[in-house]
Amino acid sequence: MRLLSLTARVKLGLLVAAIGIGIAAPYLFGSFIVGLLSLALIAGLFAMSIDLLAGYAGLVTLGQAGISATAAYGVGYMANKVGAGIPAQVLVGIAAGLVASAIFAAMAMRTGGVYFIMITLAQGMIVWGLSIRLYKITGAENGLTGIERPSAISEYWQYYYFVLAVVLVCSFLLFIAVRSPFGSSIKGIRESESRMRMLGYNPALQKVYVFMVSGFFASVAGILLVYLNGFISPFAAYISASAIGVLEAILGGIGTLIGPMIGAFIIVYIQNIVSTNLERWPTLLGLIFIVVILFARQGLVGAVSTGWHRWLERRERVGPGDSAGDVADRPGDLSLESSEPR
Amino acid sequence: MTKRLVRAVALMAVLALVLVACGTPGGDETTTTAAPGTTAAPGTTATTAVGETTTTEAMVECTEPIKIGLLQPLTGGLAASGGDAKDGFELYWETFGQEAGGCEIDFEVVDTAGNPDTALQLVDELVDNYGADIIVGELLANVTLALADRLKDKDVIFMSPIGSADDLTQRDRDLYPNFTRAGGWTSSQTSHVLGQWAYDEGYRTVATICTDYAFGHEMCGGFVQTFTEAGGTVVPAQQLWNPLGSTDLGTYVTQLQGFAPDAVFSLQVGASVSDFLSNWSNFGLMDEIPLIGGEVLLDISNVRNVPPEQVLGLISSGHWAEGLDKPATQEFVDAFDAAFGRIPSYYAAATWTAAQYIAETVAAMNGDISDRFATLDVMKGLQLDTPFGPSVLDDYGNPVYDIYIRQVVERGDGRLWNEVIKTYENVDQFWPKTAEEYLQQPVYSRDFQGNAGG
Repeated sequence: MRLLSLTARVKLGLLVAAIGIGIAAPYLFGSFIVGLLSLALIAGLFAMSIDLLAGYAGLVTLGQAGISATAAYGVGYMANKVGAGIPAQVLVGIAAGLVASAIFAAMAMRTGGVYFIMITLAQGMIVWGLSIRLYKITGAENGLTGIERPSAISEYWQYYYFVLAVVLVCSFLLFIAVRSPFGSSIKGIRESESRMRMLGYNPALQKVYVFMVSGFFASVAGILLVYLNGFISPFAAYISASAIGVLEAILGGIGTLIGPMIGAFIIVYIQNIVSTNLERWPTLLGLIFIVVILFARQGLVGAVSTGWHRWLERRERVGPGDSAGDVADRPGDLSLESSEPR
Repeated sequence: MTKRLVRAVALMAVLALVLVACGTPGGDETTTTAAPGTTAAPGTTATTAVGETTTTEAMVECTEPIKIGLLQPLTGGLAASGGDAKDGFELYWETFGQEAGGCEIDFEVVDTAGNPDTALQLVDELVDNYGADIIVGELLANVTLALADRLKDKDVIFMSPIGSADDLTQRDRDLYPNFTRAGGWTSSQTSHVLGQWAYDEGYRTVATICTDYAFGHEMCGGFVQTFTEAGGTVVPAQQLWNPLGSTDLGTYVTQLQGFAPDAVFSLQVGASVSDFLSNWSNFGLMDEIPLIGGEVLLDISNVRNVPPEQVLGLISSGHWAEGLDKPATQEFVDAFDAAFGRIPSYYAAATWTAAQYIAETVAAMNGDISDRFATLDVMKGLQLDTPFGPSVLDDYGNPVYDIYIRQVVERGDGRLWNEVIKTYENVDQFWPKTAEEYLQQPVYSRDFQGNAGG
């Protein structure tokens, strides 16, 4: 009897390799690439926070950037307008993000499917509108500058390691969350709200919980980003910022957690590297999305996972293998409609 | 199997620790890494070799070309304007050759898509890997401010010929020592003149409608301040602010009609321009209320996209007037028209002028611009004949220009453009006040429009 199945070993090997490359990156690449890796990790964390809602709770949000931008504005306000120290900046940032999440959650808790999308879209745009209107707090269109990192992580590669560590810890927490009883209960809500209610759960309350957890991680991403850029402007809260997070999650594979991270890396790569050589890079991005939606509904991770399991099955037919326990944990499909009868 | 796995994990961990222990990374990253997109212009190395052999001339030895990074939005909603900016910049070097002060000029154009995050990543690439001496960018005020903040401690010169946020060369000037607005302008610089002109024209009450963001606040504020200080009246309740990007301005136009002012001042950007102008014309206001435009409202990039009857005869002020009857202007307009088949907008004129400033400065420095602050001082001392007209920089690094009152008229070939009907000479960003006097007031915002009467 082996301790780990073949699938688990491959997964663990890939994870270790990825972390190894992640640690070695500043020795292999210049400041530009390392800066991009920081950006991609942060974008990945942001997309994972969306995945928690969209992939596990079945609640697709188009307002997540509103939450991360609120947290970032909390940091920016304390740094630029108040002149407070780093701990106060971060605390206010997280608190602002959580308050925004709580308000958003209270507004959206009784909805699902398309209605949830509509409400979160409006919420994100409210933050955007406020960030333009409240210029004494947000600096309006001009944004807030002068947000400095603590001196211990001021160098680009120091900050990269910091981001890497934070993102790894957050990913681990998310990984645990979706496998906990809490994770099962929110998956239950995705599958059928009425049955969960029959079992004694309160779906609305569960939605508030998952929204808050997701909002926390989005806030962390927003704060990491504002320290990376040293700058925050209303653009960070705009619909396109939310949408790109959802697209990253879908591209990588919704309901997989690691998929959104991969999707984020691909999109950041195309946006920042391909764009310097290819003027029509948005076309390339669009083509990739079309191909993914047509041929790999479950995203890149979903497609690879399906292919892998097919290969395992064929292997099993040929000879006895060790794929016990590999059949579980298929990625979920992205469905906007709940399966609940109306 | 499990043992082997554990061993592999342990090996990776040890490797990682060794790497971490091997001193700080980043010390030599510029030499070890080939960055993407940093391919030098063809002929770079060849020219360097030639430069070394022809030392008999009084030519300065340039071991490396002068490198310029241009950041503009080439995709997304601002692609048309950003494209004009790129075309103007490239056309200058095509026309006069990529050489100045004995040095080759090399430049790289990158697409920010109007996104500050992308712009900040790309500017790092331009500075750290491409090795840019000069950064020219961007179009949007927020991206420009983000770039200025990122670049303030770097060993580069940052020029913003388009992004016109007032405080960059005013109240926040000292934050950005390596910044210059050569080829650019401050938002309120052109509308200050327009306010005075409107009063002199006999208008006594004006209502305004401007886009509700920093650029609109500054353009509108500039107009309101000089107009009311001259003796005109702007009722604060008759200052309308439409959201950025709004395209249903009919209700605002009927409100303006209800105010029955002597004239209306308007500043719109993007999709709101054609919407505002078509509503204005459809409501029959063209003959009823004189419309005065902020510079961008009637920039040629907007004028060429709307039906002629909606703009013909309208008056605005600007530092750019494509119909200005001066050789430097018309040579540029003709060259641009010949190359791209359209009359150049102020975006194109701005980057062309920025390129002209670079070329003249590099020539004056004999090709050595390694001392950035000395270079900026030399740039300030230049007196150039640009497509905008005569240009000199003030102490704050902002150009002092002739500002033109412009009217949209038909050219000989049937196309429309802005012709100059009056020139205000040597207008700086504080006009008509002194810098000390002007800087005591806050920057224009929705709450502060400099309204002397209200």
